[in-house]
Amino acid sequence: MDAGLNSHRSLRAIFALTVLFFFFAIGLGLVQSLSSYHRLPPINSHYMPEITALIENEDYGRVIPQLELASSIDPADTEKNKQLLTKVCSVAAQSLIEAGRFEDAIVQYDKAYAANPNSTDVQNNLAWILATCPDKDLRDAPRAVTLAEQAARSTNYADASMLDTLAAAYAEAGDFANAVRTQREAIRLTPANYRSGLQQRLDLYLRDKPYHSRQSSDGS
Amino acid sequence: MLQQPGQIVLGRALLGRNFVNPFFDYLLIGGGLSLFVVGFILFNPLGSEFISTETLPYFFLLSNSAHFAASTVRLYTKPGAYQSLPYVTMGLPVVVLAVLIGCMLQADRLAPQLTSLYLTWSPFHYAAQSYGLAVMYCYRSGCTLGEQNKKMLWWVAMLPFVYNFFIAGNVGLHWLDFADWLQYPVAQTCLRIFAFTMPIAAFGGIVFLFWRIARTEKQVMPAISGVILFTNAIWWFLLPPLQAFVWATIFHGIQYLAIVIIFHVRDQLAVPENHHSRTYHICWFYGACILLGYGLFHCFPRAFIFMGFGPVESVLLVVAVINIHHFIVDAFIWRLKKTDSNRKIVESASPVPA
Repeated sequence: MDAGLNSHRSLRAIFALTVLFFFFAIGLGLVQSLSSYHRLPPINSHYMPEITALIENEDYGRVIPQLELASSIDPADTEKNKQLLTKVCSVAAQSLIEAGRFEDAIVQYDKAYAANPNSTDVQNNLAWILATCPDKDLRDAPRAVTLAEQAARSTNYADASMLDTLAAAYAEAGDFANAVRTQREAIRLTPANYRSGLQQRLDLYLRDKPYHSRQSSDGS
Repeated sequence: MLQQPGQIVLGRALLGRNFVNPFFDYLLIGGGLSLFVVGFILFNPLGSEFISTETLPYFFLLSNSAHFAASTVRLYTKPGAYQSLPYVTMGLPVVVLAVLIGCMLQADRLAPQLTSLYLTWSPFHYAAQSYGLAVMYCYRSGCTLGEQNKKMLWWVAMLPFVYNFFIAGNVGLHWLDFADWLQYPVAQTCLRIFAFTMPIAAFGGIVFLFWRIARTEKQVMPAISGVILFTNAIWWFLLPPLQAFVWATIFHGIQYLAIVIIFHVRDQLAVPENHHSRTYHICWFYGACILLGYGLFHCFPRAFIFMGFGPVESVLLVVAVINIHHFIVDAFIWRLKKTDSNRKIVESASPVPA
């Protein structure tokens, strides 16, 4: 271009490569768009602030349609939609738990479970809240045991957090012998510096007492 | 009754010197159009639902996506930009792409941070744009602001951003790990008082600015400068957070497209070898913005999805990075240095007679 630009030769070269990559990516995206989908919303990723705000405003029902539009996911691609639904509902449930709204959180986890019943995370989290919820009316020990056993089985009984949940479910169901045995196994699988919470729960089970969360689910 | 000459002069000074005509400038650049739409949203029982989700994407493409692309199109078509801004024109895209790829690879950790950064930055960017436009109209209309008045104008323009920084969830203070502190009863009380007083300070500040500038400067502040500040405040203070974000982005986009097209067209018409009409330059620039906007927001994320990154992360990170790139580019391309073509355009007409 001129003398001013000659002093930035290497910058120009890197810039040219960046531009090449950019147009290659745009072309790739365009080909993808044209070949993959018949009905294209013209985009918009500008849905993302809206999606963030929807999550923030707890308007979860509208999040998935917005996500579909934003990422142009084919509505017929049920697998992707299921994954998204699971993800969004789990995030929603977690924030509801932190806000102490356990009933709403269970509704969200139920939705996540309905969309993706094989997700061990969803099984585990739903089981935890059903076993340890501070509101006794919301606790459901038999269902918690079923879900926690599914989750623990899926991980070959080798995941400490799944076993922690299973022990809590057993304790809530009054099966303290199994609760103690399972919790001891969970403690064995946990690094020493993370054992205090698990140990406190074990102490409760040894005294035939189930564990109930106070303000929020603490972690399993 | 016959108008007195003094009244006519005051009327003209208040009207300010517009770029196109008062109707266009006040409605699109001033954000007057948004007042009608905001009124409609607030008083219509359907609220913002009157725009269907089917049509909204097209609306976004024509205003938002085109607007974010506009700063890039303007940067690379601005006379002398490569020479005067080598690091912005050639270095910034490289850095931005590197950041984008880095964040894609560490999406779990970095995507929420980058999104929160861009959501926190957006209201600041809108406030800064309001300030810039308000000063530009003052300057163009012969109202030379002293340092104190400029500072005050800056703070009045920034109030919606400050409000958003403290109040909105997931951004600002809530993002910067102060959320626990904000739960304390004292903090909650302070926030309630803050939320109540900020709109009063923002709207009252605009009135105070008019009064103070009329008293301390040779020329009154043009009304369009006040309208620009007022509309930005309306978006953030009167609408619920979600709608505020959506509508502020849309109207900020329209405002931006209008002013950037004016600057581009005037630059191009001033090129000695230009042989195209005004309409040609308008269509060329806006067409380029729509095409680039489509490429950036529609095709670019899909390329990452194709490369195996998650759809949500791809869209989220591309949007955040494009926004941040736009914010940075904007901070450079609107400078009014003496040698800059922007300066000539702002000065392109004689000031309003005092």
